[in-house]
Amino acid sequence: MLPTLLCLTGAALAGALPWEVHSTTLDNGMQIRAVPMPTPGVVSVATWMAVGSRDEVDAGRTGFAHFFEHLMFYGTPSMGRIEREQAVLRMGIDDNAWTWFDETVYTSLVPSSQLDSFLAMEADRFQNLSLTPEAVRREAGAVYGELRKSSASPDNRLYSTLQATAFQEHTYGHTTIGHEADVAAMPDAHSYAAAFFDRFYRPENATLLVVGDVAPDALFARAEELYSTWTPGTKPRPELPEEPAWEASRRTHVDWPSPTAPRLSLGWQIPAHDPRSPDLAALELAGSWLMADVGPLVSRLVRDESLAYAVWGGRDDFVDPGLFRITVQAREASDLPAIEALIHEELAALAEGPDPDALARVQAHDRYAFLTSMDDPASVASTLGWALRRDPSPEALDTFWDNFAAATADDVARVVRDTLVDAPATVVTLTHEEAP
Amino acid sequence: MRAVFLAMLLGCAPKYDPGSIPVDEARAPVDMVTQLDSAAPNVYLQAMVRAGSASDRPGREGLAALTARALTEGGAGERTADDVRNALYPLGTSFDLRVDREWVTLRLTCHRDHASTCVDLFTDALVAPRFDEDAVGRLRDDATYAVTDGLLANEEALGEAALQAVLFEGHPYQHPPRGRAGSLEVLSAEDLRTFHQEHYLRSTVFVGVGGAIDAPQLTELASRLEGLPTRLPPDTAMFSPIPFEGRTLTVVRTASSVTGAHFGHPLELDRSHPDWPAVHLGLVAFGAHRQSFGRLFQTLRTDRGLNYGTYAYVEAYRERRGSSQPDPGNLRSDPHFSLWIRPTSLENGPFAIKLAIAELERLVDGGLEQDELDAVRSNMLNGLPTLAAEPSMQLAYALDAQATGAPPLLEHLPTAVADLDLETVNTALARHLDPSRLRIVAVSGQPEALVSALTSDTPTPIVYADVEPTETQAARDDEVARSVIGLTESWIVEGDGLFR
Repeated sequence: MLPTLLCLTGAALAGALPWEVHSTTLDNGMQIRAVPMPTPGVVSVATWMAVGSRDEVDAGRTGFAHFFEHLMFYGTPSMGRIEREQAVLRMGIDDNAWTWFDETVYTSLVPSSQLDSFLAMEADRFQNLSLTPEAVRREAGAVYGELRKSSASPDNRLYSTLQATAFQEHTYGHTTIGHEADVAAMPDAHSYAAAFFDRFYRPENATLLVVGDVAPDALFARAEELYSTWTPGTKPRPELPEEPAWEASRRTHVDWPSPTAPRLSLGWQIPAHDPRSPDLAALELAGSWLMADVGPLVSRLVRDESLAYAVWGGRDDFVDPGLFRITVQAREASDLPAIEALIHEELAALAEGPDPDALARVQAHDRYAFLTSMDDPASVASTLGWALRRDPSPEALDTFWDNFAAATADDVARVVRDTLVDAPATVVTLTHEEAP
Repeated sequence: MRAVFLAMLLGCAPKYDPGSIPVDEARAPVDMVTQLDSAAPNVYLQAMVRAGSASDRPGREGLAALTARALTEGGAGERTADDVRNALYPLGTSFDLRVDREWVTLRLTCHRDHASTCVDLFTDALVAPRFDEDAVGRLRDDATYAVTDGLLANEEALGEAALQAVLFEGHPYQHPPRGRAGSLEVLSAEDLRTFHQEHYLRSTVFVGVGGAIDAPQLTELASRLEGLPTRLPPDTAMFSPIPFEGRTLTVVRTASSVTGAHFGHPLELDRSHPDWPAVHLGLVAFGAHRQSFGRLFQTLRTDRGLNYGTYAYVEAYRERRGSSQPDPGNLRSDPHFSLWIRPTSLENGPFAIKLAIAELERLVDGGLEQDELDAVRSNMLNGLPTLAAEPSMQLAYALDAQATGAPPLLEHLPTAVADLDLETVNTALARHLDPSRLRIVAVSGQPEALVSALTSDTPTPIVYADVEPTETQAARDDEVARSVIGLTESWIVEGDGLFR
């Protein structure tokens, strides 16, 4: 423990993760990572599958990656759904999963005394899932419920409209929950679900992370024993259409049926995430400064000029080219044009070069925010899993932070100018019109 | 005011008075819980203050929450609000503030490199807030939006707020902690200053310190907290919720195409009560928060695909930020039982509500099965470490026990549930839960249709999304569809304007 702590406290701003990452790759391509750290008898176990809504290229199948995440809880021939659920219950495991554009993540907090048994259950379901037409029909109703829940939110609607407007070719054009018509058709999707499992749930798409009270060598031996029987896939990944560069700005409006704060969301095209790219590290810095509550954009919008309740956004770090976003929850609909103008004004100012002192403060802020959050196994697993999606080497995270620390005011000015100021934007507004 | 007066007429005597403490206790140093660890990467500073929204006087709803927010956002000590933001920013951290009915929870986690600065900022916020005028005005606007249009955009939160309002009519828990638009607009910076002086005292502030703080920093922290006044807290009389019989229905109208519901009743059962572990365990088996093993989840979602989930609670449940696990710090002296049916389709709304009530009746009449008891007990015993995998949560649980006087959950729960037998659990469930006495609150896009369906004798069959129910399930569905929940009263209220 001591060397790690010395590293953390003596050179806190030089390294990346404060805990050592142990890595191995099974012959079938599955990645395994172990991160020992002090916890009170708990490990965070996460399996990251490289499949998300970006892979939903087939017509009428939007939302399927997320739907499939639900089906992963339906058990196997050797341990049925109810049996699995009872086992997880008795073991005291907090078991969960989520899906987004690029990934489906199965994540659990596990008492370390139960780790061995839990891994056996995980290895079983990823290789031998039971898929019945009845399970597919049953779970489709729950997913419809989730869609209903999410569609009642103006923020979700704003987000999905920005995606649909910004991505007219690429599958990022639909959000993870999917189109309502496709969700409504899910009850009959049993054979598609079986093909989906066969195609995507393969070891070369999987990364297993175990963080906390874990011995790396024992974990690697156990993983070899449990997962080496998982056979690699034979079908190629889908070919995804590229989103062409926008020739001009785009604009869409949403009428919201009930009273809510007016909203404005802007997006600009940016490259795919690459943890080793100095330009993306500079863009990350720009995003942090733009969203900082002490930065000029938020200060003006929220406090000095009282135009907005809240501002959020930043850079997508997606597997394919995504967006740089700025979203504003405004006070008055009539202020939306002024807010948009103010955003462009602040971007232009940043493109002239940020104050070097401000830059140093952003660098300290992000680095310390990262370090401070690394005190529990679930956060470490989530950060590491996120970082490994584009580059399986944990050193890529170090490179990202090195680039982030090395970025200069000129770098930030240049990427802001090229990516945001001199480029077209997609703009979505959402307002509620009072009935006359 | 009217409601409080009504409560007095009904003969509810004050039963809990957090203001009544001995004078020497008021002068004693602030109670502090420490979990020091010189090897930890971070420092954890936490406070629980007995200054939640139940301390709001009628007509001043929102004052406690606005005061709490202004501690961290309205300047403190020598620093203006901007100075505080600028001091915190390079540390990569921010205050985490939560306000419930009785407690304000303030947390600040910092990297160990910044322990001293964080001790300054944390104690200034508690002891020397400035309540700068412009910051207070902005926070007041934010709160007004949050309890009006903001709440409308989150129908599940709206339903929960409406349940509290109905369940605790005439009680200090009735209004949302953020207040009401009409009361917020009259609150001034001076009001906040006065509230702080009256409620942030040595005897009402409890502090937790964890991680890599050294002895001089700890001494500095204690010494700064001595700046809190030694006066006695004001009397905040708490009344028992107005007793009621039967089942009532309140439907909140929104523009949505779904129906969600909450229902419940007050409980005479807090964590110190000998029956609490049994009822807690029983309700976890019945409807653990966002877990799939609960009976309610199985019955409504797994077997019927009605919604995303249905859960039941022995006390107010607050999620941690970014996690569905419980966040300690919101215990109440007037607890309540509640059940939450997440949104279903408009057509299945009446059936879902009837089915959840039928399940509650089945629980109370028939109790748990031995298997359910064994499984949930095993879950609690094995899973205890997962409740506090983060150092900040270990401290938060300890502070919660210290501040409220409730048994420390992490230590108490294993022994409390280890020897529970089925009869004890089932007897406790039947003693404390009463399905005949429910305040039901629904949020729906078609309130008239819902009220009509739940007040008539016409069956309300479930409409399946292509699932073919088993014969047994179909028979149960038929029975539930034909059941009549027997409402004594029903109301429709407009969601837009509920807390104006």
